[in-house]
Amino acid sequence: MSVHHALFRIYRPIIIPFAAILITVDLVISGLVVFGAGHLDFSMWLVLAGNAAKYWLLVVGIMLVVMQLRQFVANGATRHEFLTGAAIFGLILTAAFSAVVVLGHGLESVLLGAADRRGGGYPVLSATGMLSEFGQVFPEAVGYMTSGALIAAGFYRWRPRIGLAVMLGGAIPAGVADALLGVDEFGDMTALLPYAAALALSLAATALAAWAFHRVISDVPIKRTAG
Amino acid sequence: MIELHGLTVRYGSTVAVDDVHLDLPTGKIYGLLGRNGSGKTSLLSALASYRRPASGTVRIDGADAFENPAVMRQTCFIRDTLDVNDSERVRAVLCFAGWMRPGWDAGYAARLTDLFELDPRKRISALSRGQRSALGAVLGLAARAPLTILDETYLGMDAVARSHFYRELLADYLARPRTIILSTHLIEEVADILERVIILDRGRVLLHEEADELRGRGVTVTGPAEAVGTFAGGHPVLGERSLGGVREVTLDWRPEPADVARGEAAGLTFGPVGIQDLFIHLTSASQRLEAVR
Repeated sequence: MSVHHALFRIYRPIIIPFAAILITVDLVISGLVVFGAGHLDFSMWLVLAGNAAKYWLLVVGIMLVVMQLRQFVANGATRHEFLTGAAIFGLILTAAFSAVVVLGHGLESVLLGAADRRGGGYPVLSATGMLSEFGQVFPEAVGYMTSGALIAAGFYRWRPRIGLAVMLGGAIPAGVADALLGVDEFGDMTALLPYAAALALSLAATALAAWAFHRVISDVPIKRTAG
Repeated sequence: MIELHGLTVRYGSTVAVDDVHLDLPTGKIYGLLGRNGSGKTSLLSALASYRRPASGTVRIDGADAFENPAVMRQTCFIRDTLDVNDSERVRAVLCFAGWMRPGWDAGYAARLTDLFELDPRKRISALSRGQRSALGAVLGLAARAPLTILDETYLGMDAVARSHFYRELLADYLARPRTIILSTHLIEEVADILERVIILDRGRVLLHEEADELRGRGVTVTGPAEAVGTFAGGHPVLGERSLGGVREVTLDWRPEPADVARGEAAGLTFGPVGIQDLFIHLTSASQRLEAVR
């Protein structure tokens, strides 16, 4: 079985409950707000799912190094095969989560509209808006996951002091993506730059971190624990 | 053929494996022996591509081993601390090995799990030291990897479990010959199943011999102190002890029948030296031995 197939099978029991909890929490809180205030002025889904997805993907990036690398190499995979499989898994997972964030926002928008519960500030999402929102959420999610992987790799390969130094560099993709492509609860982009420039800078930071991650892992000793 | 040439493994300024040269024909059971800190695990880590050597090469059937997919798929390295996640259940660990290992025998794994009385529903964190080792034995044997490396896989196992392990290892090896490298401190227990023995000392290969050769390599000579001294003269002495006028020496020498007859005529008795005794003598007096050589 390929590494990315195995990773999906490992994470499937985690992804499904995570998504179920997220949807339940969103429905409950949104219901309470609508029940109390009569309408929703912002997208609860963007607040909850948008943040939960990117932080969860950061954690997945960490887990891939701390838990899965050793497991795969011990079962006959090379580090290179692991990196390739993790990259495929990571891209598909981040794309799927980004799509869920955008589609969930669209569904929330339709349902609130149908029930006439959209407040004045609510970010109504059109079909074309979905594509541009995906274009913001997806590279941000990839940046977060890459950050998690690089930060964990630093601690896995080196002593904690060096790990801390790597962590500063590892946080750059997430920080840049957040600053340049982040979407707030009103659906507005928080960036100070035009989208194309923001996307290019974010992708460059993520690509640099991915390259560094590859260098750190490509010949890392397989240790029992990090540090 | 497994070839280690000029293999050196370093941890900072500490040299764990120092310029090791070994040619190991495949299809045998090797015993890798050495005292604590002699470099056994470091050597095995380099052999299994868990660690890139500081210098030197590891080649398996002519191909460089490090990050070689074909070689790594055919190699199974079970460390004393298992490379599994503590939160997982035994069943999940076995299942994962089945996904990844081309030669995995799920039926055999299930039989071994029963034999070692492992509960597949238990989490790794709930297993005792001996049960973790038993799981390592299941993973190592059921993988049926052409190069199987078991690093102190017996740790914490009780006598019954160890007996099961040795019996299964030998039976499966005879049914499906492959290269098995056992790193162990329980030398007497495994001595009978080893075909070749490698002794490491301070990161260097002290000895690499056929186990049968090794079994007949040394001799203990006991008798009156003066007669023993005369008989042993000129031969490498591995160890000696005295009680009153009686002296016993362990010699790194295989006497001819005529020598034995001469010794017996002088009132001496001769005894074999087991691999463990030889190991103790060699590694506790290695510098002296090398000086004699």
